[in-house]
Amino acid sequence: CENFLDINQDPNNPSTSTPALTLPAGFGELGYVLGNQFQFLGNYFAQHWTQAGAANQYCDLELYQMTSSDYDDRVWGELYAGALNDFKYVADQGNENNNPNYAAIGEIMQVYTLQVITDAWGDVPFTSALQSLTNLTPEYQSQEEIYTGLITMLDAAIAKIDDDATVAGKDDIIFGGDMGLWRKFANTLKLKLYLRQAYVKPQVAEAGIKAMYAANAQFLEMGETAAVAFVDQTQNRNPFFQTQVTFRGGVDVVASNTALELLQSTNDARIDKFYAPAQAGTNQGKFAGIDQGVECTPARQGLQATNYSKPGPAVASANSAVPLISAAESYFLQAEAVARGWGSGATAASLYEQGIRASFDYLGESAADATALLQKPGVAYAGGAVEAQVNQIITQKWLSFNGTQGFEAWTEYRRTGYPNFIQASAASNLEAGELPKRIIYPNTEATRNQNYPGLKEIDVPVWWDVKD
Amino acid sequence: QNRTITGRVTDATNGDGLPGVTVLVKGTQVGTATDATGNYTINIPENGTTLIFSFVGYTTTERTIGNATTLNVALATDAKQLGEVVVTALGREQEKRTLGYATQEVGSEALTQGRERSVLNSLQGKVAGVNIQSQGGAPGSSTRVVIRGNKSFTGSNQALFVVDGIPIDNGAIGANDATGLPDNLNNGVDVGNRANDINPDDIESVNILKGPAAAALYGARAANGAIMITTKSGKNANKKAEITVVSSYTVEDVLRYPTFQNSYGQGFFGVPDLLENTSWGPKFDGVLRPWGHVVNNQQRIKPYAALPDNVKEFFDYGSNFTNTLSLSGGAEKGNYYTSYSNTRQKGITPGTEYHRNSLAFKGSTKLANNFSSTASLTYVKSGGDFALTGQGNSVYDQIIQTPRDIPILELKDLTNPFNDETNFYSPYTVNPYWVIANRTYTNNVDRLFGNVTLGYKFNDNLNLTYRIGTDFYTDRRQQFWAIRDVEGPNASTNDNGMYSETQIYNREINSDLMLSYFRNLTTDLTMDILVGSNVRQVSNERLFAQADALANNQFRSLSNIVGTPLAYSYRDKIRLLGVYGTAKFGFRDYAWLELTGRNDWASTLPINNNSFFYPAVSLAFDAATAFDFASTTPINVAKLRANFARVGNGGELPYQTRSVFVSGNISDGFQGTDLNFPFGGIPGFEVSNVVGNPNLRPEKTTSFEIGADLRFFDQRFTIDASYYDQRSQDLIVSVPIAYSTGFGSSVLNAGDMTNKGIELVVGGTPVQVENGFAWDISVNFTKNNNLVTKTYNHSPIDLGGLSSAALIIKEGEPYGVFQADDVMRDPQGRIVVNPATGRPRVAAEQSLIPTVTPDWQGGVVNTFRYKGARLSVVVDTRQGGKMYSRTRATQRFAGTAPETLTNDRQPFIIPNSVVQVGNTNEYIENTTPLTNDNLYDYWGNLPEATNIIDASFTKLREVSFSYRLPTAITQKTFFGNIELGLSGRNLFLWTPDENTYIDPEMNSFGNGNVQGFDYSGAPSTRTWGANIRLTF
Repeated sequence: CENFLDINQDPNNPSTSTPALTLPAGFGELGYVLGNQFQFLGNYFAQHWTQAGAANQYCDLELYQMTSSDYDDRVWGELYAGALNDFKYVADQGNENNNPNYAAIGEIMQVYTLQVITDAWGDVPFTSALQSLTNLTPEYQSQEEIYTGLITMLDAAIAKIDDDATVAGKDDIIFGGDMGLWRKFANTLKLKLYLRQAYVKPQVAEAGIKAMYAANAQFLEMGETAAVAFVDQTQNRNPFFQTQVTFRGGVDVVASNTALELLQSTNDARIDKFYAPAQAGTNQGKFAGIDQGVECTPARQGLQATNYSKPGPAVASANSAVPLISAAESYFLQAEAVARGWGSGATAASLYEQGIRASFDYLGESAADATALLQKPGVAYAGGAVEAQVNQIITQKWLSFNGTQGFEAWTEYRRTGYPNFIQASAASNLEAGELPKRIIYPNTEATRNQNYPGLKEIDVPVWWDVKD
Repeated sequence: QNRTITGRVTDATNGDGLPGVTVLVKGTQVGTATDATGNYTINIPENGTTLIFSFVGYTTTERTIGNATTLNVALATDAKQLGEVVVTALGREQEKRTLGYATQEVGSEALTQGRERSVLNSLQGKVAGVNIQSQGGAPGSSTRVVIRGNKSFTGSNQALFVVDGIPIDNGAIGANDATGLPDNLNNGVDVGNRANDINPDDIESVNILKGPAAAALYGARAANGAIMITTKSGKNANKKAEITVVSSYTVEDVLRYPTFQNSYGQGFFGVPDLLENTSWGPKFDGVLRPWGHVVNNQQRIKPYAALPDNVKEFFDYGSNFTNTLSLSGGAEKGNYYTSYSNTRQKGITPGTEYHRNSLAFKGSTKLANNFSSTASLTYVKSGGDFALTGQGNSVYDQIIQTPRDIPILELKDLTNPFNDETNFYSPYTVNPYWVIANRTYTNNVDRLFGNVTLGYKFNDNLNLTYRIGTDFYTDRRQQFWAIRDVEGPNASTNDNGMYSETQIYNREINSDLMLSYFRNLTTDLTMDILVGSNVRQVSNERLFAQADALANNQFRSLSNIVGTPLAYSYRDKIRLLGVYGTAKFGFRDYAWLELTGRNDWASTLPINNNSFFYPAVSLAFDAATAFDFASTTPINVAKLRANFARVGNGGELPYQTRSVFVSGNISDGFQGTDLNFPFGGIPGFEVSNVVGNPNLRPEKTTSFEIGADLRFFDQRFTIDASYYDQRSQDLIVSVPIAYSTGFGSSVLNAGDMTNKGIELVVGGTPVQVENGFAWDISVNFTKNNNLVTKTYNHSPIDLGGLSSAALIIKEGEPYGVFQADDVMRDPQGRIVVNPATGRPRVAAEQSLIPTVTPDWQGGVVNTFRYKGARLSVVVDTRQGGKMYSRTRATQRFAGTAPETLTNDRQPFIIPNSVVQVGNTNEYIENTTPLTNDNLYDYWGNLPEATNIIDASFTKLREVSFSYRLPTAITQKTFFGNIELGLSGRNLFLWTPDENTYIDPEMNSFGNGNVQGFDYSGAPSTRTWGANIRLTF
């Protein structure tokens, strides 16, 4: 009788897993959110893309009008209960079973994911998060505390990397188990965490970065972009491609004049990776964009997307990768550190140039084209005061993020105010001159977590966002 | 002086002579009985003034003698007779007056008079306490049946279906349910519920056990009440074989078309645009203008004028042709019934159909050695070509957007170059006729259900019965979307094509062993005992494979694909053991006490804590008999009943007790945009977002009910009333938890809900005259107050719907309230607009809009009889309750809704609107009008809360007329009976003024717990037709 009834073991799903089985799921979830919902959001807000006239699917991003249901289950949920929880499982298993490299990867990726979360929403659950039924109402912590905690966590993770211990294999879809690259990734991430605090806590940023250089920290280099590689197979394809190109038929997203005109003015060779020529109309065969947001206003033209440049092969292909940290980004971070006088070794100018070259390299453009671009006025490194240098570095970093790292482009714009020629979308619902400064907390937190801190409007800056 | 009177007593319904009718002179002992042809002769004593005619199953009738020498009487059948026997739990037949709980029986005539394909739909308006909602008008679509309110949060709330004592499956597996893919708002298909497999013509009667006390012997599944279906048998057949043929043909059309504006046509911003699928163009002027694309230097021309019927013209007349042939016969030791039935339904949406073939056999024998046996077996083959619902594939969605001046019928010829994929006029939508031809969802079901019963009679008091029943089916489905690959402006509608196959296999086995014992304990006290055991096993299997890109459009197979197909498999199994017993004591034929208990052991619960017990007690007391006033007052019956029961629910969901890992799947909600593992050949299993619960317990519903069954004036006036109070506790809920915990939900016993309600059935025969005319009326009224008294952590639970308009469960509200994006309002409730545009701002937090549950519902059933003629009229109503209408949203967006004519599309300021001063709490009057340029933005982007409307309705549910040819005529033929009928269903619909859109009964998300969503499903229909019934 007992046996007759003992049949409640799910035959469809495993009751146990391993770090090797769960790590890829975490990468997939993170890559999906960054490559899809946050790709749209970031590239609209950072003005690489804008809404085409004959459709209006993404006008809310031009109106800066978001509700608490917009980035809920499938973004907040996928980041916390998906990526973060899977990376935590990998780290916990690694720690319990004496597998330090899995522990390190799991923890590094938790730090990466948590930074994305706090950069998007500000104060969020951190140390009290991920405790399952033990803590159903995770407390919100200040972003300042979270940043401090993330650096501590990252240091501990880096210390766990053990070049002699077992390494991951193909399940590490980022670096294939190369712990040297993971160390560089973690250092670059740490540099990014410090630089994010450059305006709000400059002394901490300075001390931290100087300590890294003193310890001879190595960062990601040319060809070492950390990316989730999508595959041209059923339900393995790049999510932006699937959503915009396949599902929506490419009717929404076209080039924003903000980014396109800069690329055209310097004759930047990357233009044909970031964008595709217009397929129809008077601009056919040429690159053409729309002023940010104008097609979501009464002044709209209402023309189809085919009359303009749609996103190019770097992002809109079935197998476009979604970078977590690109090699170019690594150089631009280092350039900023040096420009601020906190980093040492190579000059800011050479790191800046390396950043542009790394971007060309990643996109498959020739070194000669990069060299040509670097001669152009406005691109050639001008030096000068720290802010002027940062302006130039961030503007080029912003360009390198076009279409591929939209969320980071918007986030760095929030931090630095660069590129300084970005104007609010013509359709903005916010006060004049304002751009979005955060994402509204999701409904599920408002209704399920009694520690939900209450509504924070889209124009309320996050903690590190102190510079105009 | 004595005199002799002669006459004939006939059946009022068919005029047949009635043999054996007692004819009594009132106030005397003088009496006789009618002969084999219904004739009688009686000598009347001197003081005799009145004759009383009485016969089992007929209304006792009195006639004044006067000076007559001949008295012919037509007796009406009495459906409400005192000795009425009904089928109760486990298939036991019991006298209705001895029951301590509410039941309501519907006979075969009432079930089949409307010639409705679905048994459940044919119950609409006829029973109290039961909410029956047909979900749409597409062929083969589903129906939801909830008795006395929802008792479970997310588990099944539908009644248990029992055929001849054995539970059968009434699942409804929608297109999204069997695929392993996330729900897809573009790809909804209502593939029906499995009770659709039952042929109404095979049903003898349906008895509804409303409360948990009535159904307690079914254990875990009794909380929702039970629909007990008894199929026809040869029991009452003559010794010769009787052959019956029933044929009916009904026609159907759309019950409710949305109201359209007919002033403005194709265009945008008030100017013409030949590519648009919206009616935001200029005002109609009747001038001849070209439309559509230029093809081969040609362009079509039409007047720029409204086509008020362009939507109506799109729909076909649907039809339903049903033929049933049955054969039954009986002899002393055995009887049989067998039937074949064929139903072919064609839908109003061109190309949609549903068909059902069923073959049924039932036979029983009594053997000399005290054994008896019954076997019943039904084989059903059903299937259809179903209407697609949702925002992407529904043709309904497309045609209600079509500009008011576009002749939809002219789009029908797909070989016409103006209509093909390349040149169809709009790149924003797809030719609906192309969709019909190229996007299909079909299925084929093979099902077998039945049972074998063996009985052994030890003696007159002690019986042993063993019954084993099974119900299994396979449901094989194919979905196909053709490739669209064109160049030019319509390239935006290109599609790689899709093909999927789904195989569903379900099997349920029930085995019951029962011992019953009856004894008169004293002359006053009877005892009826039954003990038994039940073993039950239910298994499900699903296999789904999909190709999201096709090689070509030539054939429909998984081999015709590009890339790797997606595959999904799932299986589960649950088992249950139960022992039960019931003891019923009867005292002096007026008081009955019944005690029931059942203990279950369920595989779905933690193994060390899987046993649970359900008690029930019920009491029936007939005061009229007890105090002996039945014969001295007009009160014939004054039965009071009361019962208490506690039953469980939730032994149905397997695999909730342990956490698992699941193969990685990430989605943004758009069709086919998922990332699904393996990823580049690498497997990935994520920590499931659901935390398993090793301490799960069954849900409990405690129910208390009192009621009265009162009958007056020879039962010409009856009242049956019930009041119930049910409390469901420990509800098993997938409790949503904050994602910041690392998980999204956990299965917990965490929720309470109450249902309190009254049911009233008032019946009467206001008119019954000597010539045989009779008018019966039955009025039913139901009011159920549902209240969610506790949710875990006071947190709402999402039932489903849209993220921008979800149906949720919220503490302190009735089950199912809408939570939707809404316009921003100031503290005085005025609409806050954007000062730059004059358009409403969207509130940052969603509004709560109660509730999907109606306030009350009721029905009136009128039956008129005269000789062989019978007219039945059923009206029912449901008042209160809300629903979401995508039809409204779509019509506003497309500018086809009448309200888009506000101020004749000239600039206007939203009434009572304000603007916020800076970021302060100050609001000042809005002076910015909406202009021509953003009227579309205004109407097209109103938040979803504004699309939630009053779902009240009243329907002329059923009108049927039948005429049985007099015996005088049929005698001259070889037919035993000839009956001709006309039927109509859902003939008229009345709704509140704000609903100009749809029939509020429709729901696009199938018959589960997510109700109240018009999401571009097939519209509901009205039907009418004729039928004939012949017996040989």
